[in-house]
Amino acid sequence: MANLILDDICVRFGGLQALTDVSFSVSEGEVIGLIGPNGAGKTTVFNVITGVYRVSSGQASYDGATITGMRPHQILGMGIARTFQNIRLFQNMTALENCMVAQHSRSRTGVVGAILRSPSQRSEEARIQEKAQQALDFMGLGRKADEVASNLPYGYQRRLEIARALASEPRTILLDEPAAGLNPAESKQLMESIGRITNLGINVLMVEHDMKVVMGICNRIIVLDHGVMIAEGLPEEIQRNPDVIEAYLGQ
Amino acid sequence: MEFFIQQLINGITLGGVYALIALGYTMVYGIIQLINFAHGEFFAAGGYMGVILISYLSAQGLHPYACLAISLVLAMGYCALLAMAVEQLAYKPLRQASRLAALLSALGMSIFLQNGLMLTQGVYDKAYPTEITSGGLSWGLVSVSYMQMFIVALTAGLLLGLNLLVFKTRIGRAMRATAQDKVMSALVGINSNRIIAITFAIGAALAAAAGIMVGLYYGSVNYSMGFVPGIKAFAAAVLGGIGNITGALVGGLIIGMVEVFAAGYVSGEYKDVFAFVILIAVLYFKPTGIMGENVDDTRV
Repeated sequence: MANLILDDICVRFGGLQALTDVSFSVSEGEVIGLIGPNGAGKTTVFNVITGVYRVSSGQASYDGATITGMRPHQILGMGIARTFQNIRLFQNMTALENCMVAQHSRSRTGVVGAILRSPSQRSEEARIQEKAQQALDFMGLGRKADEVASNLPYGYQRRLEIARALASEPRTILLDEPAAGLNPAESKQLMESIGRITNLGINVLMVEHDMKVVMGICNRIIVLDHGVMIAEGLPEEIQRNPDVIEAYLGQ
Repeated sequence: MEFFIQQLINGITLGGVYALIALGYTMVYGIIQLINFAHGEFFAAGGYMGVILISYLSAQGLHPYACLAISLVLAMGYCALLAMAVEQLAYKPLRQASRLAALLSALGMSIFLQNGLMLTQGVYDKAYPTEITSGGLSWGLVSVSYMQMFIVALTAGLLLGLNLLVFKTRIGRAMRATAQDKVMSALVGINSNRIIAITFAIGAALAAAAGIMVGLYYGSVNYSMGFVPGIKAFAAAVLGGIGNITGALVGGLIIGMVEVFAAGYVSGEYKDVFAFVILIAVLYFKPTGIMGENVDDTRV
């Protein structure tokens, strides 16, 4: 069963047609690569799915519920988390706090409970912290929990972004160029992490330029060019597709 | 020397009150970069709600401290709701508009609320029941009223509670996250509209507590009482570094001290001037304030 479905999505910004009739689906347990030249609309697709941009026409649904028109925090509540191409951590918070923030939609206590420090508030707080720590451990950042995010080295910050997304207990995770700026050893580690994420039953939709990463772990690849889907298929099919080769290399 | 100590005690009392009001300015600025010029009116509304409730409850024969405690909680709750309504009506529709538009809306709200208070409560001062404010301790020439002790203790308690809320709870984390990056915090599941409303509510509740304390301290409230303390608390927030919680506390205490010492050693008539001289000097020499604008993690 496909749980994320995009159906004829169009996005226009003034006179610019950013996406034209984009349709695809992501099923349980899949790792899907979204590739294309710069400006092809890959990040726009992410912004549509997560509710940051409004669609001009078309519809996206998740688990049968329409998500176009929902607000970003509601979509996260449905189980879709994401990371950013240019890292967007809460710079002044510790690594642990970054992950604890992501537990917001999975917890309840309001202002009154927090002020009264009710027993349920305290046990919830302990649970939030435990989940956040698990996410850090999962990404190999367990020992960095108390470091302020902005003090972490670049590679760790990238991992923390993924850890934060995982801390929201998603069932689908959108990774925007997770390997950007990583050295070969770090990319390899990243691929391993993504493999372990899918083992948790989380499906992955990934924008990535590093073809080694894309071809290495994706089950299926979607190619965008100028906001139009020009190909969709298995990695080996995509590598041989003449349209894709033309889009990347030009005539 | 006794005079100095006496003024120090008065300064802490007054400074605590300014700090409580300044927190509302600074928290709202931290989260939506708006100077909420209607904030002083929450202070006034709190003062009025306090006098109405305390008078009513003490007429029912309740113990003075019980009257005070119940009135405090109810007035804080009332102002929290009032602030959320103001935010919803006057600021939320302008979230995407220019900052100037929201600022003008805030000024309009201030005039509206102040006049509303005048029309419903009258133009004359309303006296606080004095029996619960009497008594105190004295050492030689230095005297501390029970009311001053109560004000300082309550201020300290509220500040401690706020600190715990901001740094140790999920609401506080969401506030800090929203202050830093609204888009990203929405993408990790935070409903920023709700968090903004909560921030307004907390700020107004603290201002309401300050309003009651001032009413008790000076013995009366007036419909325009929000204006001058509001501006002074704003000066305190700017002095401490607008957007910075610790800064609001430090700024409030400094403004309170300066005012009391200026009144004591220079002239009572010039006391207001000093707060504004500080405001102008800070804006001129160090616009980011003592603790710096939005630089460390105490920003909300």
